[in-house]
Order: sequence, then structure tokens, then C-alpha cells
Amino acid sequence: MLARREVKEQDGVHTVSTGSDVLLGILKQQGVELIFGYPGGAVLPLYDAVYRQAFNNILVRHEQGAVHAAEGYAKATGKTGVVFVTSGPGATNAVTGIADAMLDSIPLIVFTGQVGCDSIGKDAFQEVDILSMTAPITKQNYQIHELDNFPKIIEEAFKIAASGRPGPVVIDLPKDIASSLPDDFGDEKLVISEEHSVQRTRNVDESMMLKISEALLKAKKPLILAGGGVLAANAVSELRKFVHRFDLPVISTLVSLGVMPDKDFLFLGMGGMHGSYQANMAFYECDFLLNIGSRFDDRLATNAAKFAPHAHVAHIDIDASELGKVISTDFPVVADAKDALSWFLSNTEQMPKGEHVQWLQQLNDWRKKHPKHYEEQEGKIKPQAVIEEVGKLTNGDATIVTDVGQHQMWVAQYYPFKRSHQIITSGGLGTMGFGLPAAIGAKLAAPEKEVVLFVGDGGIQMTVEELDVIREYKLNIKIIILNNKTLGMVRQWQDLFYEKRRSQTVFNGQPDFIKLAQAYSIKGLKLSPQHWRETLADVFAEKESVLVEAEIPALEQVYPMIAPGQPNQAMMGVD
Amino acid sequence: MHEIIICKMKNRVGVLNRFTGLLTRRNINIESASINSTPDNKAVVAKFKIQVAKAHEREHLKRVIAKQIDVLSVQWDDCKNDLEFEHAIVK
Ligand SMILES: Cc1ncc(C[n+]2csc(CCOP(=O)(O)OP(=O)(O)O)c2C)c(N)n1
Ligand SMILES: [Mg+2]
Repeated sequence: MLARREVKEQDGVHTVSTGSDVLLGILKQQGVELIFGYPGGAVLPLYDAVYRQAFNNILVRHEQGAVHAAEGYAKATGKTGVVFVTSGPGATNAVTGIADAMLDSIPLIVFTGQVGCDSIGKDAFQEVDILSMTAPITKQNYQIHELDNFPKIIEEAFKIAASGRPGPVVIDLPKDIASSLPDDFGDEKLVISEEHSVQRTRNVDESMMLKISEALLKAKKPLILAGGGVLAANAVSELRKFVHRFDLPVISTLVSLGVMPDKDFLFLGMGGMHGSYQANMAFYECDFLLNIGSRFDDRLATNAAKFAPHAHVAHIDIDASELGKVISTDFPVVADAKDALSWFLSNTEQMPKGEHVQWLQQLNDWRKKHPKHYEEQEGKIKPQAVIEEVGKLTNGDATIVTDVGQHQMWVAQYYPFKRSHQIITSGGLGTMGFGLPAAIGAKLAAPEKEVVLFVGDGGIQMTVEELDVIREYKLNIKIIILNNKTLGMVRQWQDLFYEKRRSQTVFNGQPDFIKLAQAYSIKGLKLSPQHWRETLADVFAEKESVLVEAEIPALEQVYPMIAPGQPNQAMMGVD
Repeated sequence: MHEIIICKMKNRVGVLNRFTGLLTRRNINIESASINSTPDNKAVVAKFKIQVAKAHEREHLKRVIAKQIDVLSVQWDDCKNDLEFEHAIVK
């Protein structure tokens, strides 16, 4: 049994088992090794238990950082990230991260402190109705009112966060519950509906799967879109086996980069607004599109009505509400990507390889004719070149974290991703400030991995306080600021669509980023246009964090680009 | 066209909030509603009269409602007139 009231004496200190101790006990049972959090009045009892139990809490410097760090941790491991924040401002500071996790389907449990049960509803100090606030941005949320059902709720929350389509769950914990001395939790069994109880849920619809296989293999121009669902289901090897069995070309989304190795001849790159030429042309020309685990986001299917106009569309997703949401689907299947791909693998062995050599030839021609490219500029450091160089220095195997903006898109285009859990980026919400804390979470999750953060001069300033966590825990993260001295991505849109009226996007002066790093006892250095490659090589030989500033041309654009609302084949910046 | 959603949900604090939020977000007005708990008090049955303009939005909403953790079952009916709705409520 988890916890009964108990008073122990250890080294002369009285140890009391409270609701908070029970909570930590359940977390340990769930395999939680560390949490990200920040204390405050309402979570005093919780942090007292953390202290007494020497639970591993990573003390962030802002609650937004706690949630993004937990997201980075979850993304790097596939495990559920856990966050503790206090009530009121602690909870509201966590909201951005919770929304981010919701849109990118990241499993999180966020415990928010709450005022005591008797004070709720009385505008007590630091009381907010976090349940109402987070209802639309959580998979589920709870407020604990009775100790009895406390363990049950936490276990249920863990199941819900990680099962089906993963997502965040908020548990609001009133202070009196956290500090109460439980007698007994009863032995009530955990009851949870079948649907939420197992990771991989249903059997696939075999007749539909058969139809898809036949249509896919008969198609003259077949195409696979492999989204984040493939990574979430750990189905990367199944996908690779399947597409190689039949030579099926694959496009990734931003968040699923790594699903295919960059070098693979079947991989066309990322599709969408800043996707590759061949990927977007393939969307336009294909006659059969199989989407596995992507939600046809508007940054991918930039004009839903004109998307893949010649194709029959099959869509496999664990979340039934994604089917037909954006693109109408001829072949909808509700299934976990791993189940679906395993089904394909075991049921298509005897099927003949389709005849689409010409299609592969066409794709290759497009790739050759319009490769990604950028122009070198005398005496300037190009962001794309920096990313390529980092790709070489890290052998394409580093965990790559980005913030949001132009640099994020250049990283997506130029880093040679090759494995799952490799890109950690804010896709759905596009949250500036995500990068630095997420990199911390990723590093703590897998210390043996090289972690590189690419961040803009704007975004770094949104969560810069987390540099102190890097200092405190002596983490080795390579931070590369691609400094264009502007809010580059917004500036790009202003230049293209608002006649270059650069309203509020050009910084009038900046902090000295190198000194800023030094203030946190982190090595900082600025790349020189002459010797930047050598300097970068030295940086990656270091065993500790280095913040590198690369001054890049202010007006560099991200191309190709599809203007919002235009169809995928209407790419700008392709010559 | 009006439609009726008959939704069986867990009987717990906040379920209605989460449910109506889905409608609010899509700018769907609730024109009439009734909510009752089941005899064993474990669930509530909520009936709403709403209008959803586009067929595919209706389909999407249906699935979004169905996937809520607290929703046990959901049923949609055409509602040709108010009387039918009242009738459905009485039923
Ligand atoms: C929290 C937040 N605020 C505003 C935006 C809008 N936005 C998107 S990209 C961008 C510019 C980012 O500038 P910077 O961090 O310097 O990156 P760059 O685009 O220059 O690479 C802005 C303001 C956002 N995505 N997130
Ligand atoms: Mg910038």
C-alpha cells in the first residue's frame, strides 16, 4: 500500500507522510525520475515532501521554462514529463507550455498548486480557476478534493497523457489536500475505460487497410506523408521497412523530421510552407497519398481545397477526429501508426511491387533541378552554412532543438536529420521561448546525446533566464544564436506582403549576448566571418556549454516559401 | 438545420464546461439544453439543441465530442422542429 499515516524518526527528524508524500510515491511508481518545477505558497507542502524525500526537482527560473523543459524531456525520451508549479501566477505562467504540448501531442502531467479547498472561489491570494483556463488546452484536467481518489486520479492521468494521441493533463492540487495526513486510501480499484487504458488501442480495419494497400501499390504516383504520429508510436523502423519494400517516396512534416534519414533516396524532405521543392511538387502531382499520423496542418497543406488535387487520399490516425478534418479522405483508418505499419508489413509481402519508376525519376529530376540552395556572401556568415557545418560536426546525430522563426525553418531544411526523437521544436503553437528550456529538458533526459540549440536573437530573450539552469546543473548544450538583429520571420512577411513596412521587427540595439552568457558563467563567443568554421569545430570539441553568436545577414529570406493560402506548387524563391 | 446532441458524460465537476467550450470555440450557440443525471448518479445525460452550418464541421465536431475523456456516448439527431426537441427531452 502506498501510504498510511506514518510518523518515522530518521536521524532525529520526524518524517510525516502527507498527501504530497503519497503523490511523490505514485510518481516514483510511474517511473518518474525527475520533475521540473518552481515553488510557491500553495505548493509548500509539496516542496516540503520533495525536500524530505530528496526528490529530483529541476528548479527552473520561470514556470514557462518548466513546462517547455518537460516537453523537451518528453520529446527526447517518449516518456511523460512532469511539472510542479504553484497556484495563481505559477499556474498561469505554465499555460503557454500546456497549450504548446496540446498542439504537439506531448505527454505531460502538470501539477498546479491551489489554495485550500475552503478558500476556493473566494478570490483568495493567488487563486485562479486554472481548470476553466486549461480545459481547452488539456486532454483532461482534475482538481483533487478528496484524498480517497487521489492515487486513482494520478494513475488515470498518466494513462491519459501517454495513451492514444498523447497530450497534457493538469492536476490542480489544493494545499490542504497536499498537506493532509491520510489514514487510508481505500482499496478502490482503478477503473479506466478500455480506450484510454492501453497505449495501442484497436485492431486496424483490415478491409480498409487492404483497399489502401492495393490502391497504393497500383498507383502510378504514390506518396507517403509520415507525420509526428509515426514518431509518437515508435514506428520509424516499420515505416522504413515498408517504404523500402515498395520504393515509396516519403515526405515528413516539421515535427517528424528524422522519420527517414536525410540521405535516403526515398526521402523528399519536409513538405509545406518552407518545404522542399520536390516535396511540394509531389503533393501536387501524386495520384495516391497515404498520410500516416500527420494532421494536415495549414503550414503543410497551405490551401486545403487545392491540396493534392489529383490524389486519392488515405489517412491513418490514432485520433478519429483528425480524419476528414482538413482534407476529405477516401480511406480513413483509426489506428496507431505502429499497428498500421506492422499490418502493412505482414500483409503485403506477397503483393507485387508497383510500377512507378517514372514517378521516382520525376521526383529525382525535381530534386536535381531545384535543390535547396543559398548564396554565399563575401564576408558574411550564412545561417544555412552554419547549420550544415553543425550537421557535419555532429555527424547528423545530435538532438536538435530550435526556437521559432526563420532559424527554425533553416534548421528544418539544412540539418541532416536521421533518427527519431531528434528534432525538438514547437510546431503547432510556434512558441518563441520554447527552445532554451526545451534543450535543457532534452539534455537532462539523455545526457549522453549532444544537444544543440538553434535560437533567434528574439526568442532567446523570451526565456533567457533559463541559462542559469544550464550553469547550475553544468549541462553541456551548444547554443547557437543566429542573430539577424530582427524578428526575422515576421520581417520576412512584412517584406513580402506589407511592402517592406518593418513595423516593430527591427531591434534598435541588442544586449551583448556574449556578456550575457558570461553573466551566467557560460562560455560565450562570437563567430568571425573569416574563421567561423574553425571556431565552430573548437566549440564542438568542448565538453561544456558554449553560447555562440553568429551574426547573419539581416535580410536573409527563408526559401522556398508558399504564401499563406496558396497551393503547395506555388513556391516563391525557386529559380 | 437544428440538431440535437444527446451526450452521456461522467457525472463530475467541470464536464459541462469542457463540453460547452468545444461549442464556444466554434461559435456555436446552444439554443436549448437539458441535463439530468442517470438513476445511479454515475453519469449525466445532456441534450443540446444547436445549429452547425456545414456538414463536414458537424462531422468533425461529432468526433471531437466523442473523444473527450468524460464523454461516454454521444448521439446526434436531426431536429425538424422545436416540438421534436421537447419530445426528445421528455423521452
Ligand atoms: C511567443 C511568440 N510571440 C510572437 C511570435 C510571432 N513570431 C513568430 S517568428 C517571430 C520572430 C522571431 O525572431 P527571432 O527569434 O529573432 O528569430 P528569427 O525569425 O529572426 O530567426 C515572431 C515575433 C511567436 N511565434 N511567439
Ligand atoms: Mg532574429
